[in-house]
Amino acid sequence: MQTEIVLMWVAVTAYAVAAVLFTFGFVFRRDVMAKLGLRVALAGLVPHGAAIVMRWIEVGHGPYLGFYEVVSSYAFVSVLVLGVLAWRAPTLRILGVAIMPVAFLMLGGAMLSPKAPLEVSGKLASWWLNIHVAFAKLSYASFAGAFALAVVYLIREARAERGGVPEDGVLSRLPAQQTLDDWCYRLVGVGFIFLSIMIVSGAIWANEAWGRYWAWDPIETWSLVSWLIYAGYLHTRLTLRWAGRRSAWYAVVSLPVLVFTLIGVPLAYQSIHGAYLKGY
Amino acid sequence: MSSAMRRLARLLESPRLAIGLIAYIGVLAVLGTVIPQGQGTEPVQTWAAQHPVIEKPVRLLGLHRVTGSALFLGGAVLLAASTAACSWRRTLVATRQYRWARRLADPSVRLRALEAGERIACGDSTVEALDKAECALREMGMRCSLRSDAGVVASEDVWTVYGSPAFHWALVALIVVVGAGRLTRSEGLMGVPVGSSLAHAPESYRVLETGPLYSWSDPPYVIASDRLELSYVVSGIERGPAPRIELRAPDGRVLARQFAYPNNPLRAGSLTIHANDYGLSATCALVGPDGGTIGEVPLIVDFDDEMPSQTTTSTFSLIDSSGRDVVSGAVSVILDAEAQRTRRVPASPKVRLKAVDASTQEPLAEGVLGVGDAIELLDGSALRLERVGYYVRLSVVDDWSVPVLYGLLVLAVVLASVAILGRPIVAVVAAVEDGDPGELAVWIRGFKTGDTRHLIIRDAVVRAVVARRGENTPCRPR
Repeated sequence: MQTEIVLMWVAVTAYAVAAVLFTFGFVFRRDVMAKLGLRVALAGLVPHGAAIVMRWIEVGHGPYLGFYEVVSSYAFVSVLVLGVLAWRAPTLRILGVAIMPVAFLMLGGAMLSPKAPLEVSGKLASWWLNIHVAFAKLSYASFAGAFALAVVYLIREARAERGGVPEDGVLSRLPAQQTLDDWCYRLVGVGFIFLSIMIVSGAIWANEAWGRYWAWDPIETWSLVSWLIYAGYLHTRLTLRWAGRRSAWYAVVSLPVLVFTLIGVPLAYQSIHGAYLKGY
Repeated sequence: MSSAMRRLARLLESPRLAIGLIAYIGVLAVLGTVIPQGQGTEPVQTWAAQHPVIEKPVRLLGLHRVTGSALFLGGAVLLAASTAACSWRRTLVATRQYRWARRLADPSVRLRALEAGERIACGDSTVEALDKAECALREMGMRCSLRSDAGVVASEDVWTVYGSPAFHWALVALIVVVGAGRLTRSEGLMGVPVGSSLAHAPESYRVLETGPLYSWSDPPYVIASDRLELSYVVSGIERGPAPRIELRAPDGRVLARQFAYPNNPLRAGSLTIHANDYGLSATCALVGPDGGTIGEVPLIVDFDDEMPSQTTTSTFSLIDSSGRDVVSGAVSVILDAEAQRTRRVPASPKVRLKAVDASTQEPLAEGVLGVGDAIELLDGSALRLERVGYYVRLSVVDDWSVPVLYGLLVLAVVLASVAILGRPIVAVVAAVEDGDPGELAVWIRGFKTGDTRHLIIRDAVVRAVVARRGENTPCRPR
């Protein structure tokens, strides 16, 4: 476990450095700092991933029990989605200015929490667990990517309105606003599908484990609320023809609700469902 | 359709209404997590005492049972109606779009499309430019359905125009099935002493909720338990207490028999039985003056975390042959330290028993009994402790709609994926003027509002078409 802790702290440090580099690169318009920030962030994924794997082998289950494991895995997918977006379009690396501070805070918070492993109880021993958790992480990753795209869209638009986007800045290298808007919408669409699978698999699993598929448990309720919020995004987009700034703001304010659902609700409410985060 | 009906239909089809109702349901659901839920429960009473001013409107609006309140149910019904209306409208639009796209092979339809199209001067002859256009369309993933020297017709995922209406119809079906399931469902908790059985009938349940249209089988099914493993291990994982449960048809046939534990309920037809918990069962026999056993009654009790030295108290009533209550009382099992720690039957079980005359409420007898001990009641009869064992608390749900619901949920997710990921596009590129270089008309249309892929395809086609002979383009003529 000692090695795992050390690796995690290396990852925390890497994410912190990356966040600083991205911020400086963004503020002072130094693309070279953004490039370096991306490299440091992706380098941090290596010890982070290794620590997750070591923990997995040691405790015999994936990173989905206890605050430490759950939040650490969400930090991991946050950085991973930055890597995927940057690979898809290298100029998108500047999204790190939105993603890396979040990833750093998440992993830092996880490292300050108790790390005692929780066992997979009889109630959790089901292959539905893997489906439910996997799609929770995928949905979070998609919405986090959409959030970052929306943030950058809004910043560039604000700068353009104030006095134009400098041609030598990192923002000028990004794809066109319409492309950013389109990618944000597509990521929300994909995230919505993943979130739907998470909820459906959770309902089916709840019926197998507890004898009821829906009981308005706080986590179930807030998952539905998150689903309704993103359904609202798609409706405003497809029927009211919202696009650009309005859609971007919608994507920005929606992510905190999802994060609250995945991490905040189990902490704030007492429920059998919340045991995955707080223990039994 | 009368004008009032038309106005109503238009209102229900309104996307603003749908979005507003979605927000309304979401807000009510959130309120349900902030305001304590339940009727008369301790958290509700505590909250009411702490918030006397807002408690009154909260109670009036039924917000202590949000999802059962008129506000919520009314909103849900309206959302269902709105979804159905939107589904109908979307189906009509999708059918029109699909048919129109299929008719692009018709020259007159193509001509109308081209009249609205964009004119592009080619870099090559018209025929070569059409080749490049076709190639560019294929490279962008489109399927060319018509190709001649006059033009190219291509399309992509046109069938996905049905994705959104189909998804919304699936939602309507889900709402209907959930509602129908609620009306015809039963759900309850029954305590079955291990080694005995109970009928699936109202009197067997300690807690029971049934829909207004639920009908009980007569004669009833029987639920039995013959064994309880306190620590059941499967695949190396401790599953906790697991009773072996047997479900018998009214004619006595065994329909299902298995150990039940979390994620492994007993299932037979529409019945699903989960093992909820277990406790102790003290079986008492009513012994007549002649010493013969008149009857046995199993009394079930639970472990009590607040008073670990004994279980909860179970009350009982004994009736005579005319059905009159004769004796009533209460029993609890005394737990030694080992039994408290392990939640098992004590090595030498003893119960605390109290009996009173049912008509006068006069105490008849009270005492601590071991197995085989008895206390005297009226007229020389006695109550004897026969044995102390376990009982299992079973959650029994009879709901035909569950597998249908599962299927609809999966279908809805698949259809949502089609609706979201599908990008139905049609493209027509036709020769306007022959010659070298010639001129083409390009018309590309996406059926999904807000989607810009058709602009990307248009750019690719134009780039290919205007490239001159020999220029490096992604597409070369066949």
